[in-house]
Amino acid sequence: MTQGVYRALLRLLPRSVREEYGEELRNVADERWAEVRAHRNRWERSGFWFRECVALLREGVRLRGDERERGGVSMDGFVQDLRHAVRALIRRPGFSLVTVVTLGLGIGATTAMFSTVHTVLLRPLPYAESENIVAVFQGDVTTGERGAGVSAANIRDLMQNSDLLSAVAVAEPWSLDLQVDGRTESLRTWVVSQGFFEAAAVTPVLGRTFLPEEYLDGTSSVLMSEGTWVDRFGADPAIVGSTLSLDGGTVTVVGVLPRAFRFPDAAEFWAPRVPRPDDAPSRAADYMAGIGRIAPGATVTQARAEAERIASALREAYPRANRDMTFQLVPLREHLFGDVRTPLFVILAAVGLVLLIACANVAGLMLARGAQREREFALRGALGAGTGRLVSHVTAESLVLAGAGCALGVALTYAGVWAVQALGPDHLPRIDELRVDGTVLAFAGIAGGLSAILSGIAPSVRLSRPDLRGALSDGSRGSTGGQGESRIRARLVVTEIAAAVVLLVGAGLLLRSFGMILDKDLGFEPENRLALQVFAYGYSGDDGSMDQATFIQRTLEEMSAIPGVEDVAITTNIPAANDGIIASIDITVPFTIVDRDPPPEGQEPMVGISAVTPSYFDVMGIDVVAGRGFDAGDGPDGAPVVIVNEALVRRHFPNQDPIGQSISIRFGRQPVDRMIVGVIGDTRPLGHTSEPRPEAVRPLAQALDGSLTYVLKGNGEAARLTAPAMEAVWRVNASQAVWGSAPVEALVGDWLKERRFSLFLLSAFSVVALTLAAVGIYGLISFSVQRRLGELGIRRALGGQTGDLIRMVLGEGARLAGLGVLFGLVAALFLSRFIQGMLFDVAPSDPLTFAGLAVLVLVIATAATLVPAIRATRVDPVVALRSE
Amino acid sequence: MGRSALDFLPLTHVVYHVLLSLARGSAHGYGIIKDVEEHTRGGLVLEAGTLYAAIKRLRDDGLIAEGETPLDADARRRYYALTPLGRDVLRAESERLLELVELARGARVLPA
Repeated sequence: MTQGVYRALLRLLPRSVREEYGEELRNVADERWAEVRAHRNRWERSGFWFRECVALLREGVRLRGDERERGGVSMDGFVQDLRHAVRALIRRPGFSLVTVVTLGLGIGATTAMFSTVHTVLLRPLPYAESENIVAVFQGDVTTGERGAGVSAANIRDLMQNSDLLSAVAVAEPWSLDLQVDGRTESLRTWVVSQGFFEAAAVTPVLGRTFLPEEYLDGTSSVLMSEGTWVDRFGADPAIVGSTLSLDGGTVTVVGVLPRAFRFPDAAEFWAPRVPRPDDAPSRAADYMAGIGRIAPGATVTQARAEAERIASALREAYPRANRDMTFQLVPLREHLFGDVRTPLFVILAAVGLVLLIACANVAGLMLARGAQREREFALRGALGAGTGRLVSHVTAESLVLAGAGCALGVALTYAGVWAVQALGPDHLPRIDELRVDGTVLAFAGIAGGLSAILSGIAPSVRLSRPDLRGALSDGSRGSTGGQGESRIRARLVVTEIAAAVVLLVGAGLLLRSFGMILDKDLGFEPENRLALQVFAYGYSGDDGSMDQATFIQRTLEEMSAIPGVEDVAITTNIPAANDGIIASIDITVPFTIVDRDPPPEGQEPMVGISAVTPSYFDVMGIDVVAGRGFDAGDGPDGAPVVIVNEALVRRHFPNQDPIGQSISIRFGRQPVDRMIVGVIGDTRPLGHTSEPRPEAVRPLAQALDGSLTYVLKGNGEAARLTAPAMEAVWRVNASQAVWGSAPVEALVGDWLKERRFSLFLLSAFSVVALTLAAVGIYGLISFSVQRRLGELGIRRALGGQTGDLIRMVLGEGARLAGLGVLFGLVAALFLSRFIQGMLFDVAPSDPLTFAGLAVLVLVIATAATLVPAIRATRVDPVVALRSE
Repeated sequence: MGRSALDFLPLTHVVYHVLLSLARGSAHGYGIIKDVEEHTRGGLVLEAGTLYAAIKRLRDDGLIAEGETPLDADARRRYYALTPLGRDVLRAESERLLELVELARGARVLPA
């Protein structure tokens, strides 16, 4: 048996050595064994073959190393090869340029996308031990739906009763008004309860976070964000301890928080929150952001279980306010990135595909080049260059090309990163942290290395099996030896086309999905409307000062007078408010229908409420489908009225005319019975993908509120009305802060920004992929035509028709394209399920998309072979035969 | 080849003993192994792989060559013999070793 091993180890020797000495070696070893077995003791016997094998192993490796040095690769030789390669590539600018650009595009795109994924998803968050931070929400225990946030009272109970959460706090959205140039700006502020900074564990850039006593006396201390510190206060080093005049009072800055810290959202100031007496009753007011830190040693699952136990106690204790309430703990990373994870990875995969296609193209080009140099390589081989030498040569070329491609790729990465930041959706978290750093450059290097390997492998493999005799024989032009290359290149091209099809199908599905979304009727008209939000509180009317109603009336008058404004209205909550620029004041309360048996306590249906001025429906383009809208008679002295939407009617008045019925809404201290006087069409409150829900609208005059969103309908672009509208407010009251303003179209569009961005990227990559694949097939067919010039010349000389020749070449191309499309469709069918989450109303196997794109690729790929086909017909038979 | 004997120094001890063995006359592989074992009194027992790797290198470098098979020997065996260059190299190395011994004697490491 050991002899068998020995014989096997003989293979370790280089072939020349094996052939020369192998038999002799074996005989000698056997002879020695015979001697040892006969005359030596047991000890020497047992070790004999072992020693022989070890010696053979050692010598075999050493001999192979010698051979490589002498006839093959060595460090100096490789450097020389590199220099050679550079010179050779400069001499062929066309080939080199195409290759470098192809690789550069592939590497650049991949790296730019990697940089985005890395920044957004992989880089650690600026909080210590962020795995233990959870965002706390209230949700529905029966449906699993998540609320907007959490209420202060519920959070306090959670904090008091929880052992597994070491810190729990809320952040309440607020604003501090800053007087700038006689105008008042509302600066976003988070008012945070005690424990917030323990939970978030963020280290201030300057100064400190709040002390426990500061949570008792209110907003006289503030923390500033680094952005504000730099932009508004010029990075003043003495900012800590200085006082500012904010919100009509003075505050002291005690610290500066890092720019990257934006939980729950970006803001300019943080202030401490004092527990308020009205916290307790407003348990349903879940608009505050909750944050918690899981105690060391506990897991998220345990914390969630404990939170549910506490929630169930709260459900029992407060059956109305906390009906069906539960706590939902969401790990911070999931909360911040949950939505974008899939699209980003899908795009990264897409870009990877593009890189592969680029490499395949380059491999094809290098194969063609290799075929042309086959004579040269054959000669070298005959003159003694080992396979290793030739491989080193080709590898050097691949490396030089990949290196140049990498350099170009890095340059394109910088450009790409800039483009993503400029065009990307603002919602994409951490997008301003996007930059090209060490990790990204390392990735570019790896991508370049991979490209070198992938594009160099095919020609190298080919080289290891050189047909020396065939290449050197008379009559060979060197390029007729391209049979094997052509087969490999054909396979590469088919793969490229398949990959392009996969990308196109992905983009196509997204495009159709996007179209479906846009088709959905919003229920209102966003064009040419400007939304402007103010929080008008404190208009008490005492001592002759303005009261709320007067403020509203005068601002409406001022705004109507603006040239270009057709009409103005007010609502307390505009659909598509996204909490970015325009805050969403989304209030849902229980209601009952008068004259009907009331449902059991705690089971009342919910309705979304708001209040509007009479012209609102007109201004927003919302249809009044039954009854009437509001008019001047629906004032504080008139009968309480309400207008409901179709969703409410469908659910609660399916067989009954709602006009004339009354509903009782519980909002504020006393429930009010209101008579339904009209029905409006459904609107989508949260963008195209949200479903309408029951809504009840009251006249603003009967339900005065301070959170006012003005809607100005203009006859042109809405953005132009921004400044005049704000001036109008300030003319009525110069110290009324404007919270924000945006064209309604922009608000609506914001929901679509992410989709549009994904769609844009995927489409861009598909087009690049298709172009590369078309170039690939063009190159291959071109080469094939070149190779068969002789044959084609003969055909023409024998009277072959132009049409036949074209058909022949096109047929070759079409066959390859067809194969590629077939594989691509199968692969796309399999892969499309991964983007199901991004699709809306479109099946991942949508036949229309698949069929349409299959035809498109087939046509384009075949068209790419048209030029070589036409060239084939222009062949001069005499010239072709002569060169044969 | 143009290489002088001194280019090959110092020799490994395997190579030295193989050359030494062939200094007495041509021999085949098995014979070399036995001879080396004998003249080192069991100190160096060459494995077949070690021997033939050495033979290959020595042949490539021109220090030994395939020699004539003696008339009474088994025709299948291959015999090797020193070339003039090989002989020179062996002598040069032996002289080098002698010098080392002299130095050792001078330093009283070895008895004079």
